[in-house]
Amino acid sequence: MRRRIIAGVIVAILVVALSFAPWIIDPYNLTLVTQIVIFGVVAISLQTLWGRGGQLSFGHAAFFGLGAYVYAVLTLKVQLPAGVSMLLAVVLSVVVALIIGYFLFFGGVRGAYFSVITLALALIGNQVAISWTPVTGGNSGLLGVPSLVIGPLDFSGPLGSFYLSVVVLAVALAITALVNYSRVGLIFAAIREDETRATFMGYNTSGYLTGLLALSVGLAALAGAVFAAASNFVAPDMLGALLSIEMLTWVAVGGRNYVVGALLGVVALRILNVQISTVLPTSWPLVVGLFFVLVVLLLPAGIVGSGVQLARRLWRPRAVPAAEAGS
Amino acid sequence: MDVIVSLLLNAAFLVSVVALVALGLGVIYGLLGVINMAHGEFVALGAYAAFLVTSSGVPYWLALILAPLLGMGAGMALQGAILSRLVSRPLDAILVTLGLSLVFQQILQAVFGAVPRTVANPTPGAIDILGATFPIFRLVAILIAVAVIVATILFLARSEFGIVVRAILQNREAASVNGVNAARYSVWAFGLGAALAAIAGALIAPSTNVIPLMGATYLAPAFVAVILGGAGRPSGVLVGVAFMAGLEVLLAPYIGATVARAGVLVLAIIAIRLRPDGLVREKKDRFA
Amino acid sequence: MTHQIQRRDFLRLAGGVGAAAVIGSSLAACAPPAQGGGDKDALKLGFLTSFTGLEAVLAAAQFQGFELAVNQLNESGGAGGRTISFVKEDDAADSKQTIDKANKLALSDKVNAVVGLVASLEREAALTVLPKAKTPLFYTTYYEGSYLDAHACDPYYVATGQVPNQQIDPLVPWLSDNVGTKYFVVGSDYIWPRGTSIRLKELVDEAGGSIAGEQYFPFGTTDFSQVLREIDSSGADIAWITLAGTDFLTFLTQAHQFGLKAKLVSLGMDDVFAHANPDAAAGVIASQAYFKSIDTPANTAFLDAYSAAYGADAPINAIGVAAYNAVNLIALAVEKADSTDTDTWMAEISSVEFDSPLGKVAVSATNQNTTSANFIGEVQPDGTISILEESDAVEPDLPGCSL
Repeated sequence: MRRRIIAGVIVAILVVALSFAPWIIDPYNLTLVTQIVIFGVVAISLQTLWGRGGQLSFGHAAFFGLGAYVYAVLTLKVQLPAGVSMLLAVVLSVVVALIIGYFLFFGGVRGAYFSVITLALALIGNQVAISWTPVTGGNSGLLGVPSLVIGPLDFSGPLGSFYLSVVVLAVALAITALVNYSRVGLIFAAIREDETRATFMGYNTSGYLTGLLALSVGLAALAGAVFAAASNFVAPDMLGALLSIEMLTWVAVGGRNYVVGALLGVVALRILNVQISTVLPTSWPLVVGLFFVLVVLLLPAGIVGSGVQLARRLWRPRAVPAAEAGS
Repeated sequence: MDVIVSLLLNAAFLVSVVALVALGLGVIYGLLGVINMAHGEFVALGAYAAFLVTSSGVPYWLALILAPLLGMGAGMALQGAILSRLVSRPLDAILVTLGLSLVFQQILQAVFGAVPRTVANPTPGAIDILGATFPIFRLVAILIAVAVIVATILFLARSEFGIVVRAILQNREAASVNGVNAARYSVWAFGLGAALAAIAGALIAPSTNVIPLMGATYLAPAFVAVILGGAGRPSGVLVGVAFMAGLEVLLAPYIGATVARAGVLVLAIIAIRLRPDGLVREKKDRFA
Repeated sequence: MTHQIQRRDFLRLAGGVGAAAVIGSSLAACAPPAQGGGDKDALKLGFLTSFTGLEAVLAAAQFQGFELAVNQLNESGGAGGRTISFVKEDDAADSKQTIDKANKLALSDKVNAVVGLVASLEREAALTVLPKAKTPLFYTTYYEGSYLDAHACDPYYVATGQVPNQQIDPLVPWLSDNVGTKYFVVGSDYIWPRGTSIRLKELVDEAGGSIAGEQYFPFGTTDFSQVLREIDSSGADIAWITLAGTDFLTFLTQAHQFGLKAKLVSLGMDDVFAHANPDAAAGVIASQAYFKSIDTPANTAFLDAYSAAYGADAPINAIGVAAYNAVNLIALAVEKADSTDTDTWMAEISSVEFDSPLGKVAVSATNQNTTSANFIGEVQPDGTISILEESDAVEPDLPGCSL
């Protein structure tokens, strides 16, 4: 219960602080913050799948990119209204996730095999984006993607995009909170800890995992569609391997077991990106790689995770029961 | 007729190179359970070794010795210094190799620059095979690749090293109880896997440009081939490679190269799903 | 019972503190920096190109042309007394990164103009943000003009590279006379190869020739063996290659290995590519606004300065010279307007003229592209390009564009 309150307070502070951002930050940095917020949603989606469900997705950018491209193609080529396109982007991606989940999870594919297959999916997505030029714009991508306008709500321009992303972040946080703190969340945790046992207790683990995948993919796709609407373009880079790895670093650095960790990871690494790219313009991947390696080796629980572990040790010194000694 | 011959020859070239890469990956995965996401960078390392050799005026063939040596060194360092600490955390090991692949690419770029490098063709000219024109060097490369693959399979099947490796594969704890230093063998095995990838890189270098990111092209097909073939069994790996790379090259002229690659990946995913233990049925008591 | 902090904990603590420190300092440093771009006594330029990625092979020459101009101008007093400074960024020949960096140069660094870019997709991407930010783009690479609805017509856009009527129109008749009329087109799959092919087809039709095949490849293609075979079996006289950057080099290497019979012709061939792989480039026909072997006093002086700065072996091409010209044109306009206010000096851009290494250069008032002569050359085995034909300067023709 205490954890929920702490988490809720942090989130509330975050959202309120963000609302004041446009008054404090100039338009250029506002677009950077908008990007961070959108990526925050992706990080949450990945953390949900990885930290909660224990399934590692190597190609999460594929779903982000899928949402972005579907939105772009539907608004630009099929000329559907922006709101409908965004909805369809999410729905389509969820359907894809359900198909993938059914195909893989119900087929017994787990762990490393699942991870490699998600990587293969990202590669497939990248190939399709690059070669299906009439639809996806090929290597050049699609420029001039319309912003989101739903009736009187106009989310175009830097300010509109910013508020759209904050709204989506709030929605994502609400959904993940609902899931995590519910019975379903406990089941996910049980599956992560020991799937066999969970199966023996009568839960259809494949079904739950597929549902979790759908949730994760839906959030990532929503973030992608919002990104497309906010920046008004899509490009194959949004489906790339580098972005997928960056997404993993956000969650790994921040802390894979905490939503707050995922958000912290995004903020930290994105800001680091901006700072470093002025000094070392072409070596950003080096920093990502090094950071990643060091964090996985030394701080596997991420910053927030390690912080929580340390806090527990320092502020509650008592006889450590044998069962806990291994953490 | 010459169309078919030309297709087959080109397929043979690409398949043999990818087979080398996949074999190395398979050794690593089969023995250590580590999916080495940095494997492509060993390929690039081998290609740059070839560049170093030829740009210093040394005959190209020395690259076929330098490349595996460099690859082996890098692989052994990687396993010994970093991955050995993650034996109990296989998923984290994969993540670390992912990060390291970025780091290696950047190191290669820092040392050699982002500009493409060329490796001079040691056997210029093309010959006529059944109506199809085929570069002599590609023919030589195929022969060398096949020789290395056969040698490696024999080595793993017959030598003491191979026997011990098989023992560790089957039961790590029992092997170490019997006095086998699993950690040291892991280091050597990783070195072997990396060396194979490096040779592939050296062989492909004269036909293409050497850029820091070149390894990525060979990683995906090699990966899927390994998983299709079943963990760590060389014959399975070869079947997987033939399936992946061969199918891609044969389909490409008819449906476009990128569609072919995407399609083959989809087929591979289906195959993994239907036969998670690999395409080749495992025969008991036989390792080859 | 006291809790002993073990070494493992200490390491973790140190790691966490270290990471927090890095992040904290980054956050602190994130406060918007004071901008110096509005200083009326200085001219600040942005240079953006593909230092890594597909077009990396062209980046050095383009940047060095740019930098040489800046240094020479600063040595002789700057742009009408204003010192020129610059910020350089890498766009990796990628749409997303181009947009990000263009935004940064325009909105954060607040440069007076952006110079550079190679691949047309970079230009298309940059043009979605730079005009909005009222920052002019000076594009220095030959391109497809306005074919296929390319964005090439904007008050905040100036091109110092050739367009098809300058680069392709002289070439096709020369090829008809000297090589043949049957073409096979191989290009990368984006707007430049497809756009230039349209003009090519128009000219080939006029010459009574034919196009035996046309194939486009995505970036990063590593094996061209199939299309090489198809070119040979089609009996084409000319292999018309509009592959970009690294893929172009790969194709040349493999064409050389396979012994392609058709004559290789490319709008992309220049001294930089010839220098990168002379063996594979030998025999290729090139058509450019500039070759190193141009024999004029202006070019000799330019090459002296260029090799003094970057080494006698450093290649330079039309793209690099166009960057050199762009900087000089900007400086002349700023000097004439005596102001760094964008709209003020941009109003003068089509009224200034520069004596460049490739001849007199002026910006057309109609479409803000530059006049250009053309040279047809053939790559020699030693990597130099010998000039076979020279045509007079023509105005750039961009149908549908009038500013």
